[in-house]
Amino acid sequence: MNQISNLYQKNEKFILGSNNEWLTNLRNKILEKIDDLGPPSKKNEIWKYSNLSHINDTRYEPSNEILKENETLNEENEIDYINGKYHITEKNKKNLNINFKDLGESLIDLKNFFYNENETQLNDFVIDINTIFLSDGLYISTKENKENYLIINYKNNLDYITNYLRNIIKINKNSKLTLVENFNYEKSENNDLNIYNNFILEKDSELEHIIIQNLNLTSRLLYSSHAICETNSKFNQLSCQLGSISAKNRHLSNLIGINSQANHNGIYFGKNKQYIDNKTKVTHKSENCQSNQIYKGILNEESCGVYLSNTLVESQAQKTNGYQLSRGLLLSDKSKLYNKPQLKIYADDVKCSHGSTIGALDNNQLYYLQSRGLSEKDSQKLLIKAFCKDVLKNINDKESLKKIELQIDKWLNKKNDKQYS
Amino acid sequence: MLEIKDLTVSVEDKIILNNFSLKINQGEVHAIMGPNGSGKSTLSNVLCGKDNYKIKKGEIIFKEKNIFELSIDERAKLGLFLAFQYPVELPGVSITPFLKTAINSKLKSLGKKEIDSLEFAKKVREASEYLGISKEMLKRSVNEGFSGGEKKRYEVLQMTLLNPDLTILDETDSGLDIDALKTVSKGVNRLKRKDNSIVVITHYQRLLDYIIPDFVHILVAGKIVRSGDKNLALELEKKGYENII
Ligand SMILES: Nc1ncnc2c1ncn2[C@@H]1O[C@H](COP(=O)(O)OP(=O)(O)OP(=O)(O)O)[C@@H](O)[C@H]1O
Ligand SMILES: [Mg+2]
Repeated sequence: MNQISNLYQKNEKFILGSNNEWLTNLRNKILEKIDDLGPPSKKNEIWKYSNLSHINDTRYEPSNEILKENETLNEENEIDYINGKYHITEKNKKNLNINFKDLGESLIDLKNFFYNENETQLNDFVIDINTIFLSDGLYISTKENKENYLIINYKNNLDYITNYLRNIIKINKNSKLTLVENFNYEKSENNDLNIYNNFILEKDSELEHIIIQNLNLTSRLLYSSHAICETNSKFNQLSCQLGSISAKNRHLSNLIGINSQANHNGIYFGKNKQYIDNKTKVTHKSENCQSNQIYKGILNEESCGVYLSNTLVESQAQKTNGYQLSRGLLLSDKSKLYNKPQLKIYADDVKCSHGSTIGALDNNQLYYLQSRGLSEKDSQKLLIKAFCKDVLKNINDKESLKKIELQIDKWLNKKNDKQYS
Repeated sequence: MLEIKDLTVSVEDKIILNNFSLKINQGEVHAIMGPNGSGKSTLSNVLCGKDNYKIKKGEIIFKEKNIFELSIDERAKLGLFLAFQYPVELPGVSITPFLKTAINSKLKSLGKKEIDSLEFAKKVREASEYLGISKEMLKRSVNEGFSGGEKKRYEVLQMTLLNPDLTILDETDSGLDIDALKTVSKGVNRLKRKDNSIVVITHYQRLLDYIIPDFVHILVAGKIVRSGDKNLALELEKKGYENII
């Protein structure tokens, strides 16, 4: 029996939904599969660039804090996860446009999301682990025809705990949601987070999803998201990665309805020995759809970045418009970036392209700025910010942009963080 | 203002400037003319502190300071300004905030407080109108997609706002149409004071009808081979380099 089965059996009673027979059966099936396949290894193409010392070090240390305190001062459109447990306040409950339900209590209705037969779910170790150890989550849905704003803050105040979370978020017909997720473990150390978010964008709906990840350098993150986009819907995502000693982000979307759109934007910053592993994939399953996958990385010191992008155009998805761009800025000789764009096209009337560049700051540009009286450091900062600009311009939410710019400034001015041990 | 003594500079073991000497006093305008590859831009870049040159010998004193002890930005803040022959494009660096940062870093080094936003806006508006730079252009990124002439106007706009003590105009006339040549020259002339100096690098005598030099130097193979007044440029125009040295 492997370490994961052991951990699971020891802790089964704490795990969300353990009294559901179908879920227990599913978990056992996944455990068997993991046993058969063995741990992820570099021999397998999908793990080739991953930080396996992180992926293969599964921990389960839930927080002992049982009570859900209602003490947060959040407004009706802001909720917290603290130590791996969500906190919904009376104010949140009064929000008429966004409905919050406990994931455990909604399991029967959400069975499909666990069983998703398609390639992504049953084949992914990180999501499998999430399914096995799931500790808390929410089922969030927006009211039809309304425009909404939701902030989710992930915070911890206990050291050495692990959080396995899942949110299922449904953007109902003709409604619009701006969802901002803030990951910020300021008051704790050595935390592991595995989070999986599912989005369903119904007809004519819109989701702008902004992730601001600024975990400390003693924490590790596994983040997966999966969006299903119906007719005329638009999914616009920005993943801004600043923290965590090892982060693996995987964002997939399926364009299942005609005229739907998915944009995966990302900027990631590395320093120290940070490992930032990103993957995006868009599957075009319908006609007239658009997708953009645009990631930019700024890597300093001994940090390592990975970006794998993928566009899959199925045979029925005519008139697809797909674009992929990866750009990397290496600020030190020891930083590294692995880039790999992929394109699989089974339809014939398709416009797809991709580009990628990796390089250092341009000396002539630095010289120009310095010759105007800017110090070397300030010139570098200005060029780094300029580098991020055409990713950030794809985001509409001004509040988040301000926050992100502030965080970037902080990143540019700060050094020497405590690292994972 | 500036004194260059016996300066020898090489790039990749090739000597570019060879025992070059030049003295420029406050209030003077000097023109430097010379064939392609004679070292004019190299001289400008060595003055500004670009680092891929090897200084083999010589010294440069700018405003009583040994320039080699100063970094690129310190030289700029001390009052040196180079209008580049080929201004580099800076995608994503917006013009206006960049100008403001540049002005403020100079003010800061002088121990003065930052420029007031209204005053700054007014200055930019006035100077760009004078130089024929449109409002739309000011919303773009520095030099990105600018035409040759637009880049040169923008260099002079920066000169106007930074108000340097010593300006080097490296072929600022190339790329400018006939009308623009006049406006930009006027733009430069109105910045002329008794206590600042200008070096004009050009291939064409025509520019010197507008920006009238006190001295004209002819640079060949990294050395000044002849100096004279503005008439030397006229003579050069008639005879060409071969017959003038
Ligand atoms: N980085 C470099 N590497 C190699 N050679 C260089 C470098 N920079 C300058 N040179 C050489 O030095 C010489 C002088 O160049 P410079 O640009 O100073 O000439 P210039 O007088 O400004 O010419 P032009 O009138 O064409 O602008 C040229 O032969 C040029 O090729
Ligand atoms: Mg030149």
